[in-house]
Amino acid sequence: MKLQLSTEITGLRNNGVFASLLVTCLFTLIGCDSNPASFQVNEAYIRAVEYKADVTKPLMREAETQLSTAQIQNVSEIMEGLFGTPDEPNLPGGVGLEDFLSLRKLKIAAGPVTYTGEAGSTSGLESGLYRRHCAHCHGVSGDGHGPTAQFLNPYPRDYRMGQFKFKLTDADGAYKKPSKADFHRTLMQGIAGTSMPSFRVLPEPEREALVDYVIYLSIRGQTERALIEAAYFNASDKQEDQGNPQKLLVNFGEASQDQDLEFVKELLVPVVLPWANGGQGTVQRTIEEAPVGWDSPESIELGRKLFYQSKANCYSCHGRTGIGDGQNNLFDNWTLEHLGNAQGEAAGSGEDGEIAGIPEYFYNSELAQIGVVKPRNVKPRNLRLGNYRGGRRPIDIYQRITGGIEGTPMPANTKLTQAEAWSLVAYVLNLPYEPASRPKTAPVFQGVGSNK
Amino acid sequence: MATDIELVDKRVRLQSPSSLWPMRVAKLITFLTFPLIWVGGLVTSTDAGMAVPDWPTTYGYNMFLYPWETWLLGPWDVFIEHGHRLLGSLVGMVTIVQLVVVRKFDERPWMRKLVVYALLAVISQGILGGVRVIENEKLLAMLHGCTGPLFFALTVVVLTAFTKFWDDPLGNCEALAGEIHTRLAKPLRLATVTTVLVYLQLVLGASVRHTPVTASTQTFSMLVVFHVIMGLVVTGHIVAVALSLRQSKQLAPKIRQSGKWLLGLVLLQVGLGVGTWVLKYGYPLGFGETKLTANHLVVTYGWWQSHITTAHMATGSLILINCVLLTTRLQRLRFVASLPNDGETK
Repeated sequence: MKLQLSTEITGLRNNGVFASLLVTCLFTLIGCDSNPASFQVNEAYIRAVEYKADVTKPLMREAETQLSTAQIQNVSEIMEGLFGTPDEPNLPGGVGLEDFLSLRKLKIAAGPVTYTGEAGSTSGLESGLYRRHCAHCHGVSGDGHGPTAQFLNPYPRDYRMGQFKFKLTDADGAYKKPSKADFHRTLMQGIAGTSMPSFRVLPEPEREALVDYVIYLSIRGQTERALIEAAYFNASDKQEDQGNPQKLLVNFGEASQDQDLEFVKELLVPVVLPWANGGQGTVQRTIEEAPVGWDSPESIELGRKLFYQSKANCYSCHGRTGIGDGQNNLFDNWTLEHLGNAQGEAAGSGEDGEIAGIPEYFYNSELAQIGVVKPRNVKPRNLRLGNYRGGRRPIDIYQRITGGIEGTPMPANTKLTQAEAWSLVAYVLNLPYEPASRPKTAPVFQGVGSNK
Repeated sequence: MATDIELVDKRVRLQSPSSLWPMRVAKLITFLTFPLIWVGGLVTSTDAGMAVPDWPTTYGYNMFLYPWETWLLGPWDVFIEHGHRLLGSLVGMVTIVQLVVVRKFDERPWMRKLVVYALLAVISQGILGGVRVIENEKLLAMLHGCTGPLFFALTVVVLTAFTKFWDDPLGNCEALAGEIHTRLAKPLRLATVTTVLVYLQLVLGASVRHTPVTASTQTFSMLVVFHVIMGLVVTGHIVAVALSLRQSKQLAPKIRQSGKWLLGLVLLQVGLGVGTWVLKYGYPLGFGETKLTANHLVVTYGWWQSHITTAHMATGSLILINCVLLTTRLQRLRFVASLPNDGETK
């Protein structure tokens, strides 16, 4: 009996040791990944800039001219000087950022999750809003590469290009920065059919702080891209500075402070100006613009005709029955930037698969670590599901048709008259309620007799 | 040198304890620990962990003197976090009562030790939760979340030792003790391994839930994939346990029913797991492209998101304690069946 007992106890101990080892491994893994939050250098863009200059060198191969470690470090130092850190954000002065961004709100959104207030506080006294609500998907740097990113479809937005899909500010075929109201709408309504949640349960001041922080991350990201381009220009400009191809953008600690300040300001102004104008100098569209009878049966019928005409050309992507089965092998701008000249290889395949023809090197773990995700084609919306990611109000659909969706193959249509565009809105909104078997022309079935 | 019988007499007491109070208190602790775990899960689901930034005080007040109006009528996250603290304190106090009652009425030395361990465990768990708040450290929150179910399991072991089954495990068995001892080997081994796997799955789930924002996508992906694979492995093991118990017809109906309970719970758990993902991240693998699912909207801290996620976590603990209960009973049965005195009796 003693022997049996001791065997059982040994068995239990073995199981226990095995479990303890695995649990320890998991805690070590999670513990090691609990680094202090920091803004990551946009290494993917550095690669993109380096290989863009030499079309024969795809992303994973060595470009002829590369930024040195010192130059990349220099870009990071300038960025930290201008924008601070994820725990201590800063706004560079002298370019008008303070006019539309509040440093107080940024500090509420930034940093680790903490409550600094009094009992019963609901808002305005908490920090770490961004890390609490957004960073798991959008990443601490706003690079769209948070821990959960790989599982989400579509991928979370990378703010650093300064491009956003759903806004009411684009007009006349020109993309403009979203207004704060656009961001608020997305935060309130979420994006149905994607992983972007609605934050309607958050108090208004918290959503306001988040909007400011997203704009801050976007401006920060665009500035970083401009600095990388400038640094690359220095690195490749051998004629001007032959003795020093690794010239730094700003020499910290040297006497040329004024010149450096001027350089940084010149670089910041074109980044900040469109944001300062975003939503302020732009007409916000309203349903009142719709002509009387825009949703009448006649208008819907006109919309149906336009859907199949080259003037609107909707069917080429959304398919003849509007179920999104037209052009399926296109990419959005965020993917195209990484794909670069590999896009040719991809497009040449002619396959309709999700990632048809993408070169094998794009499944590389090294690329994944710097934020280059596995490319996915943009799928045109199935208009019969009644799911419109940018909003289901008629004005939202009108804006998508006439303003396009920035960063995607959905173009802004400037050929349609206002009445025609509204007819198309009526047709699109009516699509979920009509049978899917009403294409413009009857299909011809070869070999089973003529339709005539 | 002590004989086998003497050893057994010292380690187990086969007659009923002299009072019902130890069992009543053990029941109370177990039934209080489940809501404690649920509310603890809700703290994480609604990110309320730091809603009260100080510990052991609550906004400077003695925890027990914090104005009840502010607690009950104030912000939701303070309500949850402070409620979790109060419930935890209650469980701690009842565990002290258990220590006193057991010391008074129960003579089993190992039981007297076990309740001391239970008290130490609940105190450590409270301190761990407190330090998590003071340090604002999510890794400690994860550890706190992983040790909670261990305490829950301990309360179940203590409770089992006060039940009628413990005194007479062979009572309802339709076989000779010797036969039972032989036939128990397989279900016992399966139940033990399943218990360990369920706990590992629980830790994996906690890792997915507490992944820091600075973690890489590769880490999170690996954790999710392991969590799903381990879910399948655990489900497979539970099916095997249930089949094994079904085939062991000589066992008491109470034990055989455990298999059905576990199967039901694991099915519920798979559903809750899928629900948790859908409510947090939307439909995966193209399932969101249908009329029914296309307009699904994820709502941060929405009622369904918070409660389904919490239910998934709490059901994991329920599966664990059911496995622990089954393993403890089988161990007890096998032990008693192996006693020399009972070799010829039922």
